[in-house]
Amino acid sequence: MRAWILAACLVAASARSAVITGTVTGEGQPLAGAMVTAIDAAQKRRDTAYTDAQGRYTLRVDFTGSVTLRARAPYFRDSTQEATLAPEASKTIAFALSRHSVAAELSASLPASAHLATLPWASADSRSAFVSQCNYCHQVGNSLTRGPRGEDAWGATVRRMEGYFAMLTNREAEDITKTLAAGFDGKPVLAHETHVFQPEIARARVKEWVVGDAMSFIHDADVGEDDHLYGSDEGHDIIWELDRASGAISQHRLPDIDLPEGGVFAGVQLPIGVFTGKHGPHSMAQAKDGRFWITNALSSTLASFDPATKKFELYELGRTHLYPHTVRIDREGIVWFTITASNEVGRFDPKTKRFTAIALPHNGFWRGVSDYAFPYVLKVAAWFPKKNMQLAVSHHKWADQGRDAFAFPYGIDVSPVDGSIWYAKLYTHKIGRIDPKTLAITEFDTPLKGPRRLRFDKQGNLWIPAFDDSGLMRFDTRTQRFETYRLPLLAHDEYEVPYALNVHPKTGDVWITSNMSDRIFRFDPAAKTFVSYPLPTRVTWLRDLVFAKDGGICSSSSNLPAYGIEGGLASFICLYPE
Amino acid sequence: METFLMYTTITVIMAPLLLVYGIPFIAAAFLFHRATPLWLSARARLVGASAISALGIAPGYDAYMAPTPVYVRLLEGYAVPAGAAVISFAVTWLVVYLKAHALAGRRARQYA
Repeated sequence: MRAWILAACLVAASARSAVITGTVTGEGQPLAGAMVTAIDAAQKRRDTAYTDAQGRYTLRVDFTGSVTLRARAPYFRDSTQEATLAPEASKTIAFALSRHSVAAELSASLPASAHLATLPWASADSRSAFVSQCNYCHQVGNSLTRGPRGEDAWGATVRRMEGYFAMLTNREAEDITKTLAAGFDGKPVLAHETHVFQPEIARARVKEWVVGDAMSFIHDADVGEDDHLYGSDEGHDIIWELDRASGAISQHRLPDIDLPEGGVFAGVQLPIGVFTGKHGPHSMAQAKDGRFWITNALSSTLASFDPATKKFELYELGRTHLYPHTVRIDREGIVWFTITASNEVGRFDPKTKRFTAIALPHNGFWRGVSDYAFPYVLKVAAWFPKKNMQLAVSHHKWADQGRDAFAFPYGIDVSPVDGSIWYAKLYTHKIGRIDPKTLAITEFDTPLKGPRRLRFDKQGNLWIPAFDDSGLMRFDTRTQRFETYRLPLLAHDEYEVPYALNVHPKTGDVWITSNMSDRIFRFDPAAKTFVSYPLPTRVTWLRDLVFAKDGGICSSSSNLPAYGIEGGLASFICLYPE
Repeated sequence: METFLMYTTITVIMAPLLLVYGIPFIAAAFLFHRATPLWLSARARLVGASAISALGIAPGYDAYMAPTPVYVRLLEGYAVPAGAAVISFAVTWLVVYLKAHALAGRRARQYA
């Protein structure tokens, strides 16, 4: 019955849509895989379709009035046309694109990955530190971050980023500073990317709903049982709610808490203007009773949010449990979450309201020092708000450990086969299993580096993005064997930083974020092939991917800061592959 | 004032590390103190030994306000402003001298 109602709603919605058809040509030839985007007058909505092999497109637009239509294809200049759309209107609009003839314009149109490929790294170690730490939460090489600067200016920027928790040794910081100063010299980058047209993309559509302000940091999106999208704005202590059917966006502010701005991390100079909250809502998962469970990274609390009543409840975890991170819920309704900066997994029983912190293996002496001492370092640092005192006393600096001083348990998921809890450790390149009854822990080394947000498929295979190695890993939990796959790059010298993935519950396809080239990948595990979907907005940085009932693969565009994204604002984004 | 308090807090927290870096100088200061009773007064020996120790401990600060002894920073090729080095040495010498003086006084009372 519910499916019929949903289908009826979809039919009703599409009946109101305006339909634009046409062709996109480049220098007289049809352009396959070009993106045609309709942008509303308020620049709050963007709907996109792709051209097929003959350069034809059909774009259904869910908003009306004055719109800007933009055609975009690699190596070609954008072309725009203005139009006025009435409900159920149909129009035919053709675009004729011309190739970039000015080197600087062509260079500016390339994604961050192309610009990064030119950086003259002196050592593999420094490059590896850069990929891990400088791409940790945003692109480098986009228009905001590739401007030419001298060593002094880059040095100040790198130090500022270290204040935002980039864990670098002094040598790495120095090398990165010199490399950025030498590499981003303002000269145009030569284009040698290969864009292969894959017919599957011609069936896809992308919808974007702009949300928040230039300082919003909508870390994660989740889809509710009501098919609304919810986004946790870590910078502003807000949960955003989007009703995609009506386009209505509402915000729900977390309750205040007796902590200063920055929460437990008050001594840390968090991204200026972005982290203005105390809670830092980070990740969300919806329980069977409809409540969302939200990890509040900055306030060391767990929150529940009832979408029906819009009421929050806060649960203190204790302020030595630092940075509650990714959250998932098991079949028994137990809330499991990683606690990144103190190397723990949290277990919370909503019925008894009992919280248990499970200490994970230290994986080395210096990481053990972090696990014990870091809460106290932060406590002392908080005596001097936003002054980054932790950088002066932390052993990741003076003991020359860099990111190796921490383990950083990150993604987490629940096995559909036996209910066991699995997590990824970002900096130790391990995954681990927790027995939900005995809480016994077993860890495994991953073959690729930077395991981040992992997910199970229905068969009990664990899919893991390799952030540091542009890769995808599959771990068979029965045979305990890994398989690895390289993500499709636009050029041999580029790289991607896949932050998260998710496995489609019906098709079994693995959807993966790219994050350096404004694309999203679909991996077919049976055929072992990738489909790359170019995304219409430059500087698209995606985190959790979720599946909506209407077939959308949805996320939040969460490059940090949002003003670095084309258009200057974050958005909810859904890709409809069919 | 906040900056001064911050430097002080950081230096106190990092004092054990500064002392480890200073071990060769502290050892030299002990030798100096042991070797000079025939030529120097007790106060002069204490002043000299404290100065030698302070040379190995006196902190210089990097861009993160992280302290390492000035001599280590110089050996690593970093420039240390002369004025800051002198002030750091003077303050460190004073702290070491007062501590050593207190210890010497306590020892003298124990053996009295």
